Amino acid sequence: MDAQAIFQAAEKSKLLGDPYVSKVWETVNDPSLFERSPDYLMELRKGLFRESLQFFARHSRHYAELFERLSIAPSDAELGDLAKLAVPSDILRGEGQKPLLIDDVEPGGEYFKSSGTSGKEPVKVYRSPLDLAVMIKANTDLFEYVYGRHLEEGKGVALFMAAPELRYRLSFVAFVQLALERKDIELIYGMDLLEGAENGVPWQKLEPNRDRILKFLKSGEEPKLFFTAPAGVYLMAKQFDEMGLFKKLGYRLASGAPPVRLGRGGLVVTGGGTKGFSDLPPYPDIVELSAKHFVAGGRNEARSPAPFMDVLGMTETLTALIDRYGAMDKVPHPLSEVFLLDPKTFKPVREEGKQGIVGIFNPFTTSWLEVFYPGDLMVAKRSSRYYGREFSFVRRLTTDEGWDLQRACGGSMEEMMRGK
Amino acid sequence: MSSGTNPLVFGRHAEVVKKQLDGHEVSELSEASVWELLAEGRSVQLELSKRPVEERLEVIDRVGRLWKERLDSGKLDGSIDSLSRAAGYGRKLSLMEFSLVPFVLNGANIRRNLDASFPNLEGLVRFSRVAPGEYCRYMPVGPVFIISSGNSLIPPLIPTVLSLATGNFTLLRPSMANYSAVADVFSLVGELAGTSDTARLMSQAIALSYFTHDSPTLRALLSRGDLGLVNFWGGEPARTTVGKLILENPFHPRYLVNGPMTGFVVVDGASADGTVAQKLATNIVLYDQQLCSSPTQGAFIGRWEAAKAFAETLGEELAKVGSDYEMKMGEGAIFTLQSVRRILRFGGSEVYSSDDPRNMWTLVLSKKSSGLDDAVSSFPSFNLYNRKRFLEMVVVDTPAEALAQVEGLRFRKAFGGVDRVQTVGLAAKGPQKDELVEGLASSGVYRVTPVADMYMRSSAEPFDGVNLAAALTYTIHSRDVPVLPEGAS
Repeated sequence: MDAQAIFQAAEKSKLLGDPYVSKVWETVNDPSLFERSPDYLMELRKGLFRESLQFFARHSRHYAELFERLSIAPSDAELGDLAKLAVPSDILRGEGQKPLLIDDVEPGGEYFKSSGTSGKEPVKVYRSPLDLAVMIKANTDLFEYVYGRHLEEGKGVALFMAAPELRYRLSFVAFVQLALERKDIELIYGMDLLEGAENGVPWQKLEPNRDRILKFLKSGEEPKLFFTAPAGVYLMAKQFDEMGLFKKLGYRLASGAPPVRLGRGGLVVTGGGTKGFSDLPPYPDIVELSAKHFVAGGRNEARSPAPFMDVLGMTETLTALIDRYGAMDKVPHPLSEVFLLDPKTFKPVREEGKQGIVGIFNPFTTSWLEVFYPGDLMVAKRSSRYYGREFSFVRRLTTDEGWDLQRACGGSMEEMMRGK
Repeated sequence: MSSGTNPLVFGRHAEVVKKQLDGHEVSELSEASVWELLAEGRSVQLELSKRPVEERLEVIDRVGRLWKERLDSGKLDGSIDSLSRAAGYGRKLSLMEFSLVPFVLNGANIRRNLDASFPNLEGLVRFSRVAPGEYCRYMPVGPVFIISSGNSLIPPLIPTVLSLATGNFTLLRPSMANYSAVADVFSLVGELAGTSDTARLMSQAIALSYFTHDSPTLRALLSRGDLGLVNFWGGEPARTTVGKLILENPFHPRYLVNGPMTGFVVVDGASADGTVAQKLATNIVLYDQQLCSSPTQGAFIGRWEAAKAFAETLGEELAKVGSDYEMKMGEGAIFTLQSVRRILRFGGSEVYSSDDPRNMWTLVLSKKSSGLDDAVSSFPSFNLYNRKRFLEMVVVDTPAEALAQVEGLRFRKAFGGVDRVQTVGLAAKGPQKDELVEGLASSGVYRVTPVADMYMRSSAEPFDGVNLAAALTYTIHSRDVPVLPEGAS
C-alpha cells in the first residue's frame, strides 16, 4: 500500500465509529498539539489512557480480564498504572502479539519485524490501515517539530541507506518512505538486498548501490535528506577522511563530494541502532567526524556542518523518539506517554537524571494496547518544550544467555556451557 | 591447602601438562602419566580389594575427622571463601557444605550404604557363601574414572568415596569451580598414607586431575583407556560427547550417568502449615535450587484460597531464610525475572515476590496448569539453571492431578535439559498421602522424602535409582556343586 491508499483505507475504518477511536484520530490531527503546555498534554494523555483502557476492555476479553486481575479500574486509572501494564518487548517475538490484538482487529494492514540483529527471533507487530495512517501523520509532525521546519511538498530529495525491500519489513523504513511519499519528495534507496544460498542455507546481505548513491550526491535538489544507520554515515565519513588527495579529487570530480553538500535544510537522520557493528565509536564522535564531510546551507549561504537527528524507533512503537544533536535530546510525540522504570524493582522512576528502563504507551494505536518496554536504559531531564521532559539513551540492558551458575550436582563440562 | 588445578597423585611422580584457559593456567596429567596410573591402578585395586572393609572405612572416617578438626580450627577458611567465589554461592552456604563433609566420610554411614547394596559385605574381600555350594565375590569394576562437573563440594565426594570403599582405583576429574576444595579433601588421604598399609593403598588408589573438554588426554582416556567404569555427573552436551568416546573404547567400560534432575514439592491443604512452609523455604534457598533434589516446581492440592494463605506464609519464610543466604543477581537476570513475573501475572497466575536484589524470591500460584512455559518461550535464558529462589505451585483439586504435574515435568519447555524429577518432597496426610506415594512409584521419580530435608540423603538410600556401590563392582559367582541333580542328564 502507498500512503494514499493507507489514508483511504483508514478513513473507511469501522473503528472510527467508536467514540474513543474517532477522538484519537481527531486529536492526532490537531495542528496545535505541539504548541500546548506540558501540563495540558499530561492531562490529555491521562484522559486518553483511561478512555483507551475502556476501549480495549470493550473490544477484547483478554484486556477486560487483565484489568480486573491487576485491579485496574479503567475509569480512574492513573498514568502510574502503566508500570503494571507494560509488556516486555520479548513477548512480541514470533506470534506473541496475536493474543494481544483486539477481537475485531481490522484486516488489510501490514506486519513489521525487527531486524533480527540481536540473534533472537524478530519482534513482529501488526499495524491496521488506521494504525499506519496515524504512524505517518504523527511521525511526520514529530519529525518536522524536531527538524524545525516543514517538509515542503515536492521539494528536495532523500537518500536512505537501505534496500527498497525493507519498506515492507522494517517500520523505520516504512515510516520514512510513506512520509516522503505523502510529501511527494523523491526517495532513493542506496542499498541492494542480495540473496543467495550456501550449502542449502539461505543468506541475505545489503550492498551499496553506487549509481543510486551518485544520483543523490549529484542531485541539484534541496534540501537533501540523508537517512542512515549510524554505521552508514560513520563508514562514509571515515572513508572520506582517509582518502588521499588524488583519490579525493577523483571522487569529487565524479560525485561532487566530499564534502557532501546537502543544501538548504539539508540533514543527516540516523536511526536503527548499531546493526550488528560492535566497534562503532560513540555517537558524538560519529557526528564530529561526519561534520567535516556533510555540510548544509544554500548556494548563497555560509556552509555549516549538517545537522544530525537521531530516531529511536522500535518495531513495537508506532511513533519514535527523535533528537537533534546539540539542540534537543529525544522527545516523543505529545500523545505518547514515555515513562521510566527502576531496573531492580520495576517501580516508576520520577527523579530527573536517574536511569530507568524506558516504557512507552501510545494511545493512538488501536489494534492492541501499545504499552511496552524494550529493555533500554534512558534518563530524563526537565525541558521547556511541549513535553516538559527530554530523554537520553544510555544503553541496552544485556541479558546473559549463558549458564552463569553451574548446577551443584553437575552441569556440563564448563567450557561446553559457553554459547548455550 | 591446594591451589589451582594441580593434579593430585600420591606415592609416585606424575607428568603434568600446562595450558591456558580463559586467562587461567590449567594443569592436567599428561597422557603418559595417565597410562602409568591406570596400569599401576589395576594392581593397587587388586591389593586393596583384599583388605578388610572395616579397615578401608576406618581410613575414610579418619579423613572425615581430620577435616572436621581443620574446619573447626579455621584452617579451611580460605578454601571456603575460594569455593564461594568460584561457585557463586554465598559464604554461609559454602561453610554449611564444608561442615557436611564429615557426614559423607563417616565410616558408619558408608557401612550402612554398603549393607544396603550387597547381600554380604564379606563378599567384598573374599568369596562368600550365598547358597549351599554357591559363592559370590564383589570385585572392583575399576579403574573408575569419575567426571563430576558440578560446582559444589559434596556430589564429587559421594561416588569417589564409594569407589574407594569398594576397592577401586579411582581417577576423579572435578570441575574448575570445586577443584580446589575437592583436592583439599583428598589430600588428607595422602597425609594418612604412612599410618597403615590400607591407608597407603587407598592413597595410591586415588588420583585427581582437571582435564579441559578438548584435552587430547581426556579423549585418549575415554576412547582408549583400560577403564572399567566411567561415572559422569551432569548433562548435555558433555554427556553425549563422553558417551560417544566410550563407545569407541576397545575395553568397553560401563557408562554410568547421573544426569540433571530436579525436585518437586507436593503439599495438600491439610498439611500446609507454617512448619512445612519454613522447611520448604530452606530447601528453595539452599544452593539456589541447583541441586537435583531442589524443589523447582510444585503442586498444591486444595482450594485456591488455602493455597494463597500457604503462599503468603511461605513468602514470609523465604524472606527470613533467604536473608541469611545472600544471593547474587546481575541487572540482566533481574530484568528477565521481573519480566517473567509480569508475564505470569498477565497470564492469570498469582505472584508473590521480593524486590530485594540480595534475596529475590518469587512464588507463583497457577490454577490447574503451569504458566511458566509461556514465559520461558519469551525469555529462553530463564531456564532451570538461571531460575533461583523461584517456585511455581500449580493448584489442583486431586492427587491424580498433582501426579500428572510430576509426570509431565520432563516434557516441559521450562525444564529443558532435565532428565526427570529426582525427588518429590511430600507433605500430605491420610489416604491422600497413600494415593500419592503409590502413584509416585510409577511416575518415574527416584526419591520421595518429607519436605523438611529434600536435600539430605539417608545413608542407606540408592543414588538415582541405582545402588551405586554395587554398580562399582562386578559379581563373580562360584559354584562347587552341579545345578542339575545327580543322575540327571
